[in-house]
Amino acid sequence: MGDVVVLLKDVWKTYDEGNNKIVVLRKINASLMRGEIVGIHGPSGSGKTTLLKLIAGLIRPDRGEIIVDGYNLNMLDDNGLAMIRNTVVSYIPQDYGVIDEFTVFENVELPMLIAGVGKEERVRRVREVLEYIGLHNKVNVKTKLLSGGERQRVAIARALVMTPSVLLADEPTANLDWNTALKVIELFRNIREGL
Amino acid sequence: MGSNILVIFVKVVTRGSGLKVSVIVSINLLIILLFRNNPLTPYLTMLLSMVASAAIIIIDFRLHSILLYVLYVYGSRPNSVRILMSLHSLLIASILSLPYLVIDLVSFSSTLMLTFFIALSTLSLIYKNIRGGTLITF
Repeated sequence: MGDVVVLLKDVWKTYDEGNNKIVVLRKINASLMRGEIVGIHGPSGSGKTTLLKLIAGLIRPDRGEIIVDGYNLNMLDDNGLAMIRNTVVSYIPQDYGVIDEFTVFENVELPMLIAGVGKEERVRRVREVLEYIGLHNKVNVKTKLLSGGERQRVAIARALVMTPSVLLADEPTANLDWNTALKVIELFRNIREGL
Repeated sequence: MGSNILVIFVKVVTRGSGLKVSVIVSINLLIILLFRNNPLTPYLTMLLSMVASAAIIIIDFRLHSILLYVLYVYGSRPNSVRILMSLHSLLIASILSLPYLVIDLVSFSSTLMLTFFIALSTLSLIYKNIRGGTLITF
């Protein structure tokens, strides 16, 4: 355990639904430590995904402050938030967001393409992370040919390739069978140990 | 932060619409070559291109939606995503216009060329807006 890596101060988020305003998050305060694995649970529609998207810099809060790895997200413009999403926080969507038409390699290298990393470095880092995640023998396989668990691991590899300070996974085991889900949880534990 | 937006753009074209557009343009050019004296040829090729455009919108929608989502999630600036969408729409419209450039050169039918360009641009714009709409969910 170490310092605070995510700090939420009095965070509110509402959505407009027709003429009504729905308060999804109300006065959220939390601090997450570096190296900590935290699970958020609650019924469907309780705001779990919204909370993750706020921390990931995908959406902005209506009120309150979100500080991630020392960056106050309120102070950042669109370009600043893009930098945060690329280098500081990685968000794994519930449906993984894996692109079926691309190979495993091409999916994992995307964040580095966005960052403008050179080809040699991209190849080295993708191979390194795929080795770590156990997909080194599927580098050039199109992701539509992979199983659910393997697709999940591609999404995790893509999230890890920029070595972020915070890894956010939205319902990471929701679409997996029991054994595969246990392996994914074990993988997250290993990632924590490796960081 | 730099951005290899062109590399991503080439991947989208080659993995998505590229092959489909190439095939339809080739068929159109072949029709023009074989039946260039038939007065119905321009209308047939125009119809073919319109159907192809609609098919590309439907078939590639999932690929483009996921790609734009992932680009945004992993740090593309909103403007880069917009540029990518515009470039893609422009490229598809331009390539599909190629057979009409040929017709125009052969028959100097500027009215037909103009009609086609307006129709295709409208389709491109609709396509761009549909894909843009997927980003609103963020």
